[in-house]
Amino acid sequence: MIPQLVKRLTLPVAANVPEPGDPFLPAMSEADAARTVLGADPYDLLLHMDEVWNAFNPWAPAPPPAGPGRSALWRSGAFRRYVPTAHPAWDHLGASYVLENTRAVQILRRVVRAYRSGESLGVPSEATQRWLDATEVMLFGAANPIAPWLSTSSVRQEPEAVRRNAYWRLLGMDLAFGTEDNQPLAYEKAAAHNSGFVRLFEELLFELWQAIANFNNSSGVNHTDRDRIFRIVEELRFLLRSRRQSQQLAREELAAATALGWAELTVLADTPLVRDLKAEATSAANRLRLIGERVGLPAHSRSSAFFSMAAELSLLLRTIESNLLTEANIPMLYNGSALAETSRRVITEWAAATGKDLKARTRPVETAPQRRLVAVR
Amino acid sequence: MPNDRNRSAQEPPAHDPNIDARVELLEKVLLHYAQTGTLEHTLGHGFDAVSGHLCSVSEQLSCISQELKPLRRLNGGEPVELSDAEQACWDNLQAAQARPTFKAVKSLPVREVSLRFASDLPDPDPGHEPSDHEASTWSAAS
Repeated sequence: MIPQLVKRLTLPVAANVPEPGDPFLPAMSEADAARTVLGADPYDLLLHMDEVWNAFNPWAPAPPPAGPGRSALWRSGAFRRYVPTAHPAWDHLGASYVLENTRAVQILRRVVRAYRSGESLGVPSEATQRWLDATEVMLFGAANPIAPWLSTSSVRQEPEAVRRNAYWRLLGMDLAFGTEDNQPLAYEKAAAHNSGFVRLFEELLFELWQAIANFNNSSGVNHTDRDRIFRIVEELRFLLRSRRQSQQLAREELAAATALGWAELTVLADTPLVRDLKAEATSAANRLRLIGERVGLPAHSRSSAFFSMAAELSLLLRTIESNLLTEANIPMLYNGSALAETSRRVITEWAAATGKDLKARTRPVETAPQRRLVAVR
Repeated sequence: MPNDRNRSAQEPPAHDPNIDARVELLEKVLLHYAQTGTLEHTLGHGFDAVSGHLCSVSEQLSCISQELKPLRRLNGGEPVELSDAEQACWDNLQAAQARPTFKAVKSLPVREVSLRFASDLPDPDPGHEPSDHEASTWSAAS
């Protein structure tokens, strides 16, 4: 939700939108938009998050979830002019998963703790203090008139445990690390989870690579298996949608996307926090690594790949889950279109992050059980 | 294990404008046939090098389509036709997920804030009379 909000701030807003009498708003530069969001009142951000959820209208055609009281609150929010018109306007849970694997949230938790409990990291600037206020609310559950109610309560208090539960259910994966002190983090592991997601997804990436590599092949053997690509996409769609019946996991997905989007935005440029921590660098992964060194918690060594694929993975998984891909248009995934560029980026970065060579099949596809010799007469 | 340096070892070849020109020519021929029902005025523009020796129109048309197919694939592929509903779905997905690239942003501008202590605050207006509440508060404190 956070990067999408920054994007919307870089677009002009017409007069009289959404209400008559609203003035024209000029576009902001990307830097000003990012600074506006990073320096925003957390209350405004959570009001907007609430509005994004309501605009999505998860149970349509039933009425939207917000009542008249909450709807009235939105009209006082700083971002009320930037409500998305296309939905769902937040990243897929897969993007949150790869971003969280960088260990950004745990590193920022240590930053907040150090700043709030002493001066071991120096004195935070005004902008960093605003960032600290917002981060305690958005990532670590500090009290606010509108708490991030979407996913936490007294029943499930720890936001990280809620996110891990969602990753486990939808993607069948746990994070690559435990708690800050390297102990296993306890959370509810649901029995109904997509344990087959990784195998299927990597099979799809392999087949897509074959199609991309053979795309210009007008003579000789062409290993593109269009039908198999479509069948894998279809199976992935069934798998992911089976965990999303009646919009289950949608609110957890929005909460995770908001938290991880905030963490990502914090290190996407030399922000005030990055400068206060003297962690200026040329990439998000390097900034996070330097911040991790300042607080004694190393970032994931493959953070660069995680940051690089988050947006593309989100778009690819959303497309797979939608009804867009059919047998007729499945070449969109590899034929040089914008979506093909997206899948190509995911193949590259997924291989770099996991260390698996997705461009070579590790074992042949089993089409029928092998017969074994059990006796000789 | 994949090596970062080898990530793009199999980059697709660059877009070839000569192929575009050839595709455009062949498509003009087909359009001309669709509009006039003849191929008479299309020979002599490079097209006859492929099909000039063929006598019947149907053979020539067949030859054109056979040549066009791989040429289209070479430069960007056969266009995938999306229905209106599919196009709307794809537009919605892209619009909803749109995010900034930050390619031009290295650092964010910051505001300078001066330090403020109690002694930095301006003196009160000399004509200011303490309210009953202020007076009682101070007298109680003293």
